[in-house]
This record gives sequence, C-alpha cells and structure tokens, in this order.
Amino acid sequence: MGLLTIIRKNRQKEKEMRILFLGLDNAGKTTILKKLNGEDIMGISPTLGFNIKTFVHRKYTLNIWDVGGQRTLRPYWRNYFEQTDALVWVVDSGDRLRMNDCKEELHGLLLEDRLAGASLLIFANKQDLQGSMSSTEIRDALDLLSIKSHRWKILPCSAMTGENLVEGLDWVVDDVAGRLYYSTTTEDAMPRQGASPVVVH
Amino acid sequence: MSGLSAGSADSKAVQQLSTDFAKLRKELTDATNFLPPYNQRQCELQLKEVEGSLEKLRTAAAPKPKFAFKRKAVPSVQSPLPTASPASRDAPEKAVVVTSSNATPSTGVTISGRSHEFIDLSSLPPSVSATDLIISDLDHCVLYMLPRPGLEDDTARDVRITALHARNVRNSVLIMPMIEGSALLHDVSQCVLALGCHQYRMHTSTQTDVYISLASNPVIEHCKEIRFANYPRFLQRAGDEYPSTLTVQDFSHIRPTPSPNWSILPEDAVSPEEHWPKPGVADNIDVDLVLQRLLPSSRG
Repeated sequence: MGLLTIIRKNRQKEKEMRILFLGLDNAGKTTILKKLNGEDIMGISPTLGFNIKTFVHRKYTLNIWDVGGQRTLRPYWRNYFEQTDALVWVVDSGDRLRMNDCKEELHGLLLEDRLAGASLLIFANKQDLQGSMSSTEIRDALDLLSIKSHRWKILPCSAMTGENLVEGLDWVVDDVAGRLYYSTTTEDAMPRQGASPVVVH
Repeated sequence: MSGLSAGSADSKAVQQLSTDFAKLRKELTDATNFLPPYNQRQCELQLKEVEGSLEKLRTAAAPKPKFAFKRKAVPSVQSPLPTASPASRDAPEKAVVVTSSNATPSTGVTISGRSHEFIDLSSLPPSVSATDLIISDLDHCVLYMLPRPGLEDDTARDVRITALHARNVRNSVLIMPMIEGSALLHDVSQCVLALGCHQYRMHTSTQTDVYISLASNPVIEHCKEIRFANYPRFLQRAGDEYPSTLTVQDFSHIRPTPSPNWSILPEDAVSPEEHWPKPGVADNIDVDLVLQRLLPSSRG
C-alpha cells in the first residue's frame, strides 16, 4: 500500500457524515431511505428497532440511521444522538391529528445537547396524497420559525414519487460540508445559494 | 439521584445525568465481550432501574422548557389548521374539500362527532374522487365506504381513499375499501374494522376485531384484546389484490413469547356474510341491528 492510498483512505474517512432520520411513526422515514437507495418500497413494515444505510452521495459517504418512530421506541432515540451531523425530521403531511405531538417531539429533540449544531432538514412527506398539508402550513404548525439553535430547511417531498428527496439530501450535504469541511468546499467553490432560510446561531 | 427526585430537578442536572447514563450504558456495551452473562444481566437490570428514575426526573423537569415554546406556539397552530381544531366537531357535515390553490389552507375530508348513524360515501363532498380520510369521535356508527351500486344517488360512485387516520371511535363498524396508503388508528374500542392498506398501525385500542389485507406487517402498540382476520372475500372487489398473510407485531411486547394483546380471530367467531351491511340494499339500514350482530362485545 503506497502512501497515496493511505492518504486517500484517510481522506475518504474524513468525508463521512452521520445523518439521523427521526419522526413520528407512519411518517415514511424508511420509505424515503429505500426510495433514495432504489429499493422496492411496497412491502415495508413499520420499523421495529432501526435500519442503517450507507451510500455515497457527491463524494461524501453518508451513514444514515433510521430509527423507528413508534411511541415505545422514542425513548431509545437518544441512544443515536452521538456525533450526529444532521437531523432529518420526517413529517406525515396528512397527519393533522398529531401535528401537535409532532411539534413537541421535534422541539424536545432540539433541546438535546448532543444534537447541538446539527443541521436540521424537515421533510414534509406524502405530498402526493390528496388533502396533505403544504410545507408552509407545516412550517407554522411545527413553529419552525422559532428555531434559533439549528440551521434548518423544510422541503415538501414524496417518498412514493421521489419528489425532492435528492434535493433534500443535497441541502444536508452542503450544509454539513460547509461546517465540517470548510476548506474542501471552498476549493470546489460549492454553490450554497438557497441553502438556509435562517440565521446561524 | 434519589436526593434530586425529592427536591427540585432542574433540566441542566437532568441533562448531565442523562449524559452520564449514556456513558455508563456505553461502558457496559463495551464490556459485553468479557463480562460473564450473569454479571451482564445484573448490570443491565441496574441500568434499567436508573433509566426509569431518570425518566421520572426528566418528566418532572420537562414542564419548564416545554412551557416556554408552548405559549408561543398555540395561537399559530390554531389558525392554519381548521380540521384539527375543535370547531370541526360543531359542524361535522361541513368537511371541506381540498383545492389545490396555494393560498387557502389545505384540508382533508373529516368525519367526526357522529353517533347512532349510518354513514356512507354520500357524506363525502360530491367533488371528491380521491382523498385522505380523517375519522374522529364516532360512537355507535356504521361507516360504509364501499360504493353501493343499487342506489340511484351518488353513493354509487367510487371514491379512492389514499390514507386513513382515526381517533376515538367506539362501538362502531368501519368498512373500508383497499386504502392505497397507510392506516393509523388511536383509541378505538369495541369496534369491527374491515380494510385493506399499505401499512397498518393501531395504538391504545381495545376489544376490536380487525379484518385486514396488507402486504406488510400490521403493528399494534399499547393495545389489548385485538383479534385479526383476513379481509372478507365478499367485500373484495375485482381488480384489486388482497394479500392474506398476517404477521402481527406488538411493539408493547418485544419478546420471543407470543403477545397476550392480540390473537387470530377463530374461524367460528368470524362474522358470516349475512351479518354485514349489504351494498345496494334499500336505504334504511338498521344501525343497531348491524352493530348487535357484528360487534365482539354484543356477540359475547
């Protein structure tokens, strides 16, 4: 193994990101991941425990942790907080009955020390369904404008059609890379427009 | 720790404790390689106990920070969410249809606050052909969401239901078609459901028979006395597929032993076709009779 290989390996390791997918049950976390990964999404059962997916997206290796959202599993979420670079919060846009639950769980998470500084992407999922709430409505229902502790963005998406999934991942990668690998991103002159609607803390 | 629980637990201390706890847990995980199984189990038990008291502390300490954002949030939630607000209970018939324009708030179709009624597709707004359905606060109702071809009014039409959300339904029979998306139910008791769906989740429900067809595993959580059976053949419609394997998962009983909270409905307890309301039969369906024949409690 030559020196170059070692350097390359090191570099590759450096460009890993750890992304945590959370949200209430029935939000579509696993379906989004499987869709992104090009897997079949028809026979997905509710997640008992967690799934890990690793894939390479634009030079970065993403380690994505998808943890079940059933109420019994939520106390375990905190076991996955360590070293999280980005939090992806998935919302079932048709679940009007539980928007308040959803808001409280999210704001509870944002108080966690170990998630401090992580980028926050909110996926307003299931936009393909008739009667689902728009991303603006969800922004207000979840009181996102009050979030000052994290850089965040909300995107309407659909795990069934694939709409906006890659765009969401792009934002996450850009935002995390901007923080962690500043030198490499400036080298590449990565476009950062439209990245974050909100203040950095 | 015990000292803290007696006095005032502030959130910082709780944070500190939970970090400490996470460290302990990690140490134990790291030690699993060389710890004998007995010690391992003892440590796990102790950790679990600590976690329990930590959880108590956390809830005791929680109101403070939570209160802060609640106060700000409440008014902003009320206005953009007409269906979620109690106002929809006063005028249940006025369930509104979605318009795709971006200015008006979007709404799902809601059926709520009914009792002793037969509800079929004619209760939905006439322009709807595909929709999310939200059902809440029903008591002693029969909800029949399949087309009824014999009738001359618009109940004969076909409505695709893309997702189902239900909350607080009692002593009722819900008959649904194949739902394209998922079904999510809370607080259902003494009911009979028949549905097909993509995913099925049922929470805090009791004494309910579920006739279901789906390709994934149905999930229950915090439920008791739930019985499952396959979606009745006579409700099936040509052109749809009805998977019939049933592997129920109980999230409140994650052990290798069978869950005490659900069972397969025994063959002789499956309601025969003549007990179910028939499509296309004359208007006056006797709600009480249907309930009496189908509901698990009244059949003993």
